[in-house]
Amino acid sequence: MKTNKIIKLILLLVIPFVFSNCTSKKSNQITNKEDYKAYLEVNDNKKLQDINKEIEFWQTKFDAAPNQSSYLITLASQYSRLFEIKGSIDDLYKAEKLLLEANEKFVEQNSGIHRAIARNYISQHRFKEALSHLEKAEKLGENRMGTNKMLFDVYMELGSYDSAKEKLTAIQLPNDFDYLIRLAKWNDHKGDLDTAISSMEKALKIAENENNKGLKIWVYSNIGDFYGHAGRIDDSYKYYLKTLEEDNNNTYALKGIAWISFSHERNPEQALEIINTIESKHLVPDLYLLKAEIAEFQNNKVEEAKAIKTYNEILASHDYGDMYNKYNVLLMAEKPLQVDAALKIAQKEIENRPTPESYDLLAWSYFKIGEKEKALEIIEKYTIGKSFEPNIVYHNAEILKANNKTAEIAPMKKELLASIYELGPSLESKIKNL
Amino acid sequence: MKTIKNIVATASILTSILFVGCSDDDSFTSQPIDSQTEIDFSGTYTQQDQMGRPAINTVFVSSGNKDAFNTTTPSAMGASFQSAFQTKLLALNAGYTTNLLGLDAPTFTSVLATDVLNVSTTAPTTFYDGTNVLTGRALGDDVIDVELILIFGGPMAADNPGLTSDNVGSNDKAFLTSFPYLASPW
Amino acid sequence: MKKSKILLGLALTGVLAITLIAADHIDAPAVAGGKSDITDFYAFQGSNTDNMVFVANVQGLITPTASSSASFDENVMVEFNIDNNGDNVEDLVIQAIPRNGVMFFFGPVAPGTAGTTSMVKTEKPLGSISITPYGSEPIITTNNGAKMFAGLRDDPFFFDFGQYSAIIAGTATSFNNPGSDTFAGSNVMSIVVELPKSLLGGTGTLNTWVETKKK
Repeated sequence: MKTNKIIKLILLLVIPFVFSNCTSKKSNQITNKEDYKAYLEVNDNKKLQDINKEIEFWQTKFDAAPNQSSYLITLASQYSRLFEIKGSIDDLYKAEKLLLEANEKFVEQNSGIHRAIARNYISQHRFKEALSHLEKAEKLGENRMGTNKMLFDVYMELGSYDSAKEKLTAIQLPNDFDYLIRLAKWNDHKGDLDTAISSMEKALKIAENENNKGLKIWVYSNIGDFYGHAGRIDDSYKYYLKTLEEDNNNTYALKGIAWISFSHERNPEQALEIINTIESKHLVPDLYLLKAEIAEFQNNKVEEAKAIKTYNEILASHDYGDMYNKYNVLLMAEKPLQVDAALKIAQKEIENRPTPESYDLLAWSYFKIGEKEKALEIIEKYTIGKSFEPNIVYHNAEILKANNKTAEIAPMKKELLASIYELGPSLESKIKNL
Repeated sequence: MKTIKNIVATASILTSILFVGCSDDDSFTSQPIDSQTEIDFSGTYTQQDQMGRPAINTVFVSSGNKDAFNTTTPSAMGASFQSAFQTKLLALNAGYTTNLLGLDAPTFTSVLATDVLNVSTTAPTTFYDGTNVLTGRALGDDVIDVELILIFGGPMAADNPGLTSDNVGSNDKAFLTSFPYLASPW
Repeated sequence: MKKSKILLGLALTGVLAITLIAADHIDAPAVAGGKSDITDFYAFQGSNTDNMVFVANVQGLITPTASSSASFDENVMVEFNIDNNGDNVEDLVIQAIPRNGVMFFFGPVAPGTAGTTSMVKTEKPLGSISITPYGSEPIITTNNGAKMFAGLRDDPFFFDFGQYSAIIAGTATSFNNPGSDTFAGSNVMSIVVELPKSLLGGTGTLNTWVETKKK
């Protein structure tokens, strides 16, 4: 304990900025409830009503003329939108079913349908199947550019970084929104945040010049995340608000603001107030993990257990496939009785996509089982220096520490201390103790 | 970046929504009643899509050729795509000999592959009315039936009767007799 | 510079070491161009037979519900091409490009360089017109002898595309009678321009086509 305090003091002297961010509450205030209060109270979602009207429109037409296969595609796109807004997994499956039916009707000869199916499978984390449909689209040829863009996305998910780089070159157009956001993703993957942000800012300009509402909403909310990561919390907040201005019902931006309240301002009550309003609009399991984390920070064991229980209940009541594998591994690895199951899921994730992120899950599972040497072997081979995600860096540091490799921890610790905003306050003391 | 300055006289109805941020303040000299607006139209625009005759792309261009077809200038289309069009024509109708216009497969497909819409400046507009051939495309022309007849109907328009009309003979809403001619939206 | 990888989405890690990554959020928005897809092109004699009318439609199958939020892409130019000497190379173009709810028209004018790239011919403005909002009477302008319109209209195309697709797919052998108009009840984004034939040059026959070009 004593040494910790000394370290803390030293760090306070060395990087006072980081620490002042984390400790002094008043000067940290960035959010202002007056800015977003109106969005918490928005109850009617016109977009949602419109989608339901569209579904009715196309379904009626399709029922009257079932030979109009293209209506299946328009219907599928409406169900995909429903999923995006409500988080309702059944709508995603409904879209898949419609697209597969359309694909059959067009005897697999329509590249656009293959891309649409691939997009659906990406959402379902069925990356290999997504790849197979994109390969079919590529073979058919129509809209090669669009296919190449999606191939980049899937190769990144699968950890095929060389192929992804090739596709990035193939889609290179300096003023193309789709290219720029992928360039941002690539640079982010490499750990070059500055370049990633500047690409994203260029994409933002294009979305604004095009006056394209959908793209604006997308880029505003994503750049909100990027700025948050760069420690530009003010800018992050500003862009979450801009997202909400364009889309009053945007739960993603609300979640971002809740995170600022919780992690930056250390105001869990305010964060929870926001999250509770999301609950009714966008019911996704991970929302309860966020609640659990906040409850944990508040030392409220009852609420924490309740949130985890709800998370598990939602997962049990719907088939989420592999979508929550990652969270489940991390959750189960903490429980001695479930850690073997965690290991099995981690192995499945590696089969699904052999990325540093998946190997992290494997290493973490072994570490929690008690096989720290095996964990070390994995991180040395697959994750150290290959992923810059703060939580993976944190896992690396813990595993190194357990293996008494203290020298390698120091630079990681510095990184992690700068990432506390993203990692969340619950990890702060653990990182300081590294 | 070069900003092409452009002054466009606009109808007064638009004045309130027209102003875009402009870096050169000094170029705003006056604001007459018909407001003058400066908007940045600079930059190079690159082709995404093109169309001449209706549905030709859909019917004759294979998936693998679509990207190229959409960005090939019409003067180069014939040389690039005529033979693919002919292959497609014979795949659609293996028994094709000639059609109502008396065009054999190479001639017909060389006309089609150059995807431009011919328009007469002197004759009344019709896609095909039995007398006039391709003097433009009017809103009410049943262009699909014309194309189906030319592809499937043989020299007397009597072959493949089940394929020479989609039996949708007109639009679902009446067109206007004056500008802008198209019916109001649903 | 900070080197940590961005967590795409919210990244939460507590004592439970739970990481929440809204992985789907970074899923890129749909790549399908959409707003530059031409659905139809018409060229016909006007009600005043001294005039020629050009119509370009983009973005098909817009439902009444989707109509109020439908818009033109402000980075996309619609270009009518006119060849008046029979070589299938455009001698004149008429350009339409939207800015802040207004459609600006240029031409007819020689394109500078023919082909697949264009600059806006700002030296030859034809006029401009407010894009008609959904539900309003069509807003029309007349300028330099030309009439202009931009906005939503009923899709004038009629075709049983569903049955055609089934025939092509080999699951049907003939059209139905009556057929079913795939485009019935749906709208398109439409650009209509009518102008004196005398501005188009040539005698007898023009070759025309429409292009979309993106900045």
